[in-house]
Amino acid sequence: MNILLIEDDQALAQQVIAQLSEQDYRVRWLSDGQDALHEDPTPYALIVLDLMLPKVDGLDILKAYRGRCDTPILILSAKQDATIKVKALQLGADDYLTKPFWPEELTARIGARLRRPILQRAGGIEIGRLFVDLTGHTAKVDGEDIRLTRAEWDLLAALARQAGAAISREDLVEATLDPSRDGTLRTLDVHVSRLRKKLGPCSDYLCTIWGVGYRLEVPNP
Amino acid sequence: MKVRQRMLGTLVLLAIPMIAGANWTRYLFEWRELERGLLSFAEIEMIERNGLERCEANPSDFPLPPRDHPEHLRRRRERRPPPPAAAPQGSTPRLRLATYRSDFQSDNKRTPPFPADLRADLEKGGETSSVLMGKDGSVFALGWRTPWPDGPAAIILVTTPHTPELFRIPILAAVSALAAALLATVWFAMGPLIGRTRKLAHAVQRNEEQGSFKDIPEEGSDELTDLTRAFNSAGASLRKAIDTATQKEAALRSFVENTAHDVGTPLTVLQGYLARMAKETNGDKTVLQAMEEAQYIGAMLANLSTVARLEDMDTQLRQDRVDLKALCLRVMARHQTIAAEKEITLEHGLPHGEVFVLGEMTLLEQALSNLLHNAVRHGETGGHATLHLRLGPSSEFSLRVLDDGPGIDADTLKHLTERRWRSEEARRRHPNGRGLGLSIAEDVAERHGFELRLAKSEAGGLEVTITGELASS
Repeated sequence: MNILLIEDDQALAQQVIAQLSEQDYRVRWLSDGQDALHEDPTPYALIVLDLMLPKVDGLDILKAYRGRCDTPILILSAKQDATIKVKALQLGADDYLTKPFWPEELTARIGARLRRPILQRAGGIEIGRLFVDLTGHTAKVDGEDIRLTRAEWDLLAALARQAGAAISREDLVEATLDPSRDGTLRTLDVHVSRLRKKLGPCSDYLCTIWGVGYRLEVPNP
Repeated sequence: MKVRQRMLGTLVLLAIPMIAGANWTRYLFEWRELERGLLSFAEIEMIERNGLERCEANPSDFPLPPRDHPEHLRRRRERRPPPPAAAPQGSTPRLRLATYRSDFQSDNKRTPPFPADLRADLEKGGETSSVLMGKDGSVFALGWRTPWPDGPAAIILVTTPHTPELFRIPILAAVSALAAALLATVWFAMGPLIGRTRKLAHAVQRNEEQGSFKDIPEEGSDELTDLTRAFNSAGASLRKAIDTATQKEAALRSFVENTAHDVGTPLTVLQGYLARMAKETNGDKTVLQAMEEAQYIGAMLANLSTVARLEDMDTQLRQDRVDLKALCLRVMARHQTIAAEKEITLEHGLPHGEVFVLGEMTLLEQALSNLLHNAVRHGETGGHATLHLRLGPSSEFSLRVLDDGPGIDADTLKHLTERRWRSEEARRRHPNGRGLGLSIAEDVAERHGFELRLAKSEAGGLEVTITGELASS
């Protein structure tokens, strides 16, 4: 995937290029605002734009690009001032990153923007090798049906509906268990343990989130 | 007490002695007049009407029968109504004259004894003396040592019925009317002055409320104008001092903001190098410590900007719709590197759907970042730090940051949000402490109308919870 980096600081730009190259991104670097204004943004999967540039304000470049394409734009800003960040978001920036930041922080944010979305098709949700059929109340791993109890199914469906997000144990108990019979946190943990076993090769998808509850992890592409 | 009330009180206090004084003067004047009248009567009777000769000729048959008041005394009495006790209606008070020898004994047996009070006065050498006699003091008596000391008329006593009046209604009314007129005059004359005083007081009060210290219009050319001018002069000095302080503060804020900006890029580069070194040295401890310090410097820079912003009291906080989920993800990503290097599992839980609050995005982000920074910084290898955003049953949210670090004792917990406070333990383990970040987080939460609570987490570490209202959709 191609990424356009617009950053005037050479040392920082080289670091970012090195970091993104390790992640198999192809980076085109522009250090000049004028050059950036003349650049066609459409071929890029994502644009990383520093707001403080010589000659041209980063916000002007953002405005110009937003008029031409919907490519995700990640803003880099060294200022804490909320005004400029809010303005950037209002002009169509997708996210911002405040300096100083770690290289991994940048790649994580870029990854989050470019990550393959969870596929929703025919009333179901596809998460890697797992397919959860919300209308048919069935689940498949690598195309093979897995047998689930009612509680396990309710649990999997609740997690799949918010795949990628952690759901608290309390919310899961409320959504999946009968509070008058077996609606305890301990019972939930037992159901999760059984479900994890039944998911087989996809058992890693079901993560325990310390202090929160559980999450159905979307695997990296 | 208001000026007019004070004036009224003063006037009443002044009127009482004035009335008393006026009456006393009038009383003394009347007494003197009566003395003169009776003496004049005695002189006329004894000299011009040959009373002396008749007395000397026939002392045992003197005095004369009671006579009407002479013309000049009658006129004086007729100017005012006679007192009820003086004489019955229709009758004229009579004057009685009696003669005594120098030893105060009379040749006439029917003559009453000489009043002892008068005798004492005359014996002291006085020529005349007067006194009120009778049971109720209704008789005015004048004793006169005549120029004929050797005869039967060496001492003469003249009496007349008399009722003393200490207070006379007309005088009382006149003085009261005068006082009332005086009061009314001053009352109305003070009106504009009091109006201007009130206006001045309101203007000063308004200035104080608005903190503007605007000039107050100067009216007239009296002491009140001087006072207004003095206020304006003090206001101008204050304005100047405030302007100077504001400019200095603005310059300092700008300096802090610019420093944070200028350091931001090189620090990012430094962090990049440190991250690469960590990778190449396979997590060398020294590199990890350097990374932690770099993270701390970054947090301090952000906190400096945040404090500068929070202490800029002239500006209201922004009220943008802030995407709390996106903000949580940014903060998570910010601390992921250090957490991974320290082998601390950083987790988060976010609710389904949009979560927006009203506020200033960067302040909220820094507040949350401080909480997570502390959780990671004070966490131990193999530990956990979690950020958990939940929605309440109505339109509220709760944002928890919890860790399973060493935890904090109850006493320390009470002081944790005090700015620049650092527990001894925190100082020992981490010289940079965690008090400032927490106090900033609490300040930010408070400014947004949110509540920040500290507690011990179930796992024994610290649990910080921010609760507040969601923005209406």
